[in-house]
Amino acid sequence: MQDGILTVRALTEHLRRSLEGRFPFVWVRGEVSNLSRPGSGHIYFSLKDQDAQLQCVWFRGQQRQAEQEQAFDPLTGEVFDRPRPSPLELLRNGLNMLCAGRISVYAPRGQYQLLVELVQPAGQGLLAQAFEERKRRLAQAGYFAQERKRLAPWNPQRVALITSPSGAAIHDFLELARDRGSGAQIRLFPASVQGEEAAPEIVRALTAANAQDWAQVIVLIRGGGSLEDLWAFNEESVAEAIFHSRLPVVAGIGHEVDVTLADMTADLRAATPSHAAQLLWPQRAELRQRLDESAAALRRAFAIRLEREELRLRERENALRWFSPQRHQIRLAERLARLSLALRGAARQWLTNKSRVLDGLERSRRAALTPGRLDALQARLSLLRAALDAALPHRLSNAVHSLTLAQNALRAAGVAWLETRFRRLESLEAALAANDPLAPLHRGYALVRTARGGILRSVGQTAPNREIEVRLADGRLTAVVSRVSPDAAQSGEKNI
Amino acid sequence: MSAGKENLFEKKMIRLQEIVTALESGDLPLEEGMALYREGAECSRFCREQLEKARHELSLWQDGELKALTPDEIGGAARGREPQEAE
Repeated sequence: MQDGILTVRALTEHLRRSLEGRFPFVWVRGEVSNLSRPGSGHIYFSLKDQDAQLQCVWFRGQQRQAEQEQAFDPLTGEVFDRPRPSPLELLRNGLNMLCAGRISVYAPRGQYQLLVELVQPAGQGLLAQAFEERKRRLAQAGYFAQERKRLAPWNPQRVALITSPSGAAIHDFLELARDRGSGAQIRLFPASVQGEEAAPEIVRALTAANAQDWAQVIVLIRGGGSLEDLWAFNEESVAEAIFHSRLPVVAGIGHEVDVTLADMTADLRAATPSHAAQLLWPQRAELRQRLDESAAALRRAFAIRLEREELRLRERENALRWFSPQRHQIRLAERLARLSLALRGAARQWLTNKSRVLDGLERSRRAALTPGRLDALQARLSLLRAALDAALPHRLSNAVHSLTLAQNALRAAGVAWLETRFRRLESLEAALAANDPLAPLHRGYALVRTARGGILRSVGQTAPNREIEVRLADGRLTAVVSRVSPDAAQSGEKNI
Repeated sequence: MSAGKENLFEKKMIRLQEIVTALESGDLPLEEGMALYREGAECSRFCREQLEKARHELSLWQDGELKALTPDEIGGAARGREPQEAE
């Protein structure tokens, strides 16, 4: 069952759980021994018989019921006819006692022990025996099986209450119920809770409550009392009715220490009637708290929801604004500003570059055109102009002079040329005069011409009988050619 | 006198819790959420009123008929009576 190696503590815990589960409530009879009552108020003793011994602890908290002489029941207010001696006083070494409680393990000593809840003189052992026997039988029939136990409804609204209307139990129950739940309807099914009539009345009430099919849960309660007082709840008929109840049954019978068969059969066992009310209904404050928490959660959830919606809305608004003309304009303006900036930067850069070039040029210009050089050039220019100014009149006067010279020369040349011509004309006139064709005529030569006027140079140019004109120095003769006699050597030449 | 009305407190409480869960899950339209919130607030108000005026009603089933029963009729008187019943 266990895997691996267990620590002592783990094993002891296992043992404790299985023992407590197996023996939640037992009756044991034996002789008291080793009784000790230390200052803590707890009572330690052993129960033994011939063959065995059982360690028992009666814790102080469990002794309340037994603390004083039992004139009345401290919880129910039930008054006993005769005061009963307290079990605390009865308890002493060597006495035969009947103890009830659960088995547990005291881990520090590895010891199992009985946690005593109830101590009675063993004389009452008959009832206990009957109880045990019946319990065994019912257990076998499955009455106490955990599997068949149903959950009582939480905060039930309709409750069937089975108890005595005159007992303290109902008072306690209602007292505690007052501050619990959210307002339930409680229907009381009156039944005697002790005596001969109790069992059948309880059974009848259980049957009636089931038959009505109105309640959500049946509550069966009774105040504390002696074993005999509670005996009705150990009756088999009652256990059987609870076992067969269709509605879940909550039982709160007697004190914490009292466990009846009805308790064990019920779906839920309450230690006392008050406890039954506690188990049924949550405290109203708790309900209120639960409601407050729910309401707060509601507001919170809705606030978160709203916040989220608002956030989404804002996102969309932002998106919308992004597309708005205004926004667009702003974006454009931003872009413009950016571009202007870039432009300014570029311009500045450009200017810088240019001014650098300009500086360079300026520098070289300054190097090339120093004022001194300029002055020199200017001086030269002045000189040139002066030279020019000086040269121009000179050249003019030269030209005028040349022109005069040329005029003179021309005039001289003209005269000379005329003289030459004169002289040549005179010589030519002389020559002409010397060469006058008529002049020879004076010396006897004649000039012969044809009738037509042509000079007759050859005899061949005329023929006999042709008229010819012969010029002589003092006149002319018209003659006719009688004969043509050419010279042998010179034919054609006329012989005059 | 059957179920239904009497369980209203629990039903409203459960409904309130459902609404909170639905709102927390958050995948429903806003209008629906607002309607749910209103309903939740109404549930809360109802439950609170219920708690403020919560009293257990007591009745007695006897001899086949139902009678009203005030808490005064039990309790105090019982202390005197029980001993007579005992034994």
